[in-house]
Amino acid sequence: MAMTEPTRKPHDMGGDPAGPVDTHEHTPTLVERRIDAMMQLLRQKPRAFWVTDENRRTIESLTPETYRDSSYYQKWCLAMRSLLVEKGVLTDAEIQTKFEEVKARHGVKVAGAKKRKVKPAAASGVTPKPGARSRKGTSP
Amino acid sequence: MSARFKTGDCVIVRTDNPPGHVRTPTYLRGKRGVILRDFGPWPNPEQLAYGKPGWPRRTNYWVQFAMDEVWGGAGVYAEGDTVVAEIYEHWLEPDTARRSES
Repeated sequence: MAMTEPTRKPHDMGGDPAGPVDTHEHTPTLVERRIDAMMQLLRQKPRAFWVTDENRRTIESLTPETYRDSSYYQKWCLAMRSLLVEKGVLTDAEIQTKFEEVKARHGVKVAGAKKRKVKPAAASGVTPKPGARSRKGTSP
Repeated sequence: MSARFKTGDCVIVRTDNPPGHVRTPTYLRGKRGVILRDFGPWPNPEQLAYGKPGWPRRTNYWVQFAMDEVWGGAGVYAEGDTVVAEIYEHWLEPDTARRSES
């Protein structure tokens, strides 16, 4: 039977036991919009570092545990990190260094800890007005 | 490139189990279906997934399966329910045991 295929990857779940599907509309959060924007910037010209099929292949290669425990956009983040290294855009060491830098900036000591308070506007996914965050020289 | 199948053709999904990125779900492999629609040739996503150009192009089809064929009576579905999936031509074989339903 299909379910016992030894090489079936975590995304290939058709026919598995499952609860009811939540079909409610979901308003993207600010973080999700940022991840989406980052993905578009990396995939569109002039960068065009990878195509959607490479993104899928990378997400399908996550461990079953990571696949199960990660949200849709968390999977995108993991795929972006993996593909940026695979394509030679960044090294893993460069990403690690940046993580440490950002954590230090926000006073975060434990990996994954959330110390930063989110303002109500950001929490509700409101996009800042254009020009409100015009910083220069922050692109990688 | 001329399409390998036409609407109404009876097909069987290949039972291959290759490593890497594939677009054919396991639960449909080995199942018998009918070509519902021809979407024309597209770069092969199983090659695009590895940074290749995806040639030769492969025709993508909507293939319709009876729920009984897919699940064999297990699960909850109504009589006459079907599953429609996008499947590329290289995953399909002609179902010579059945006549075309066109």
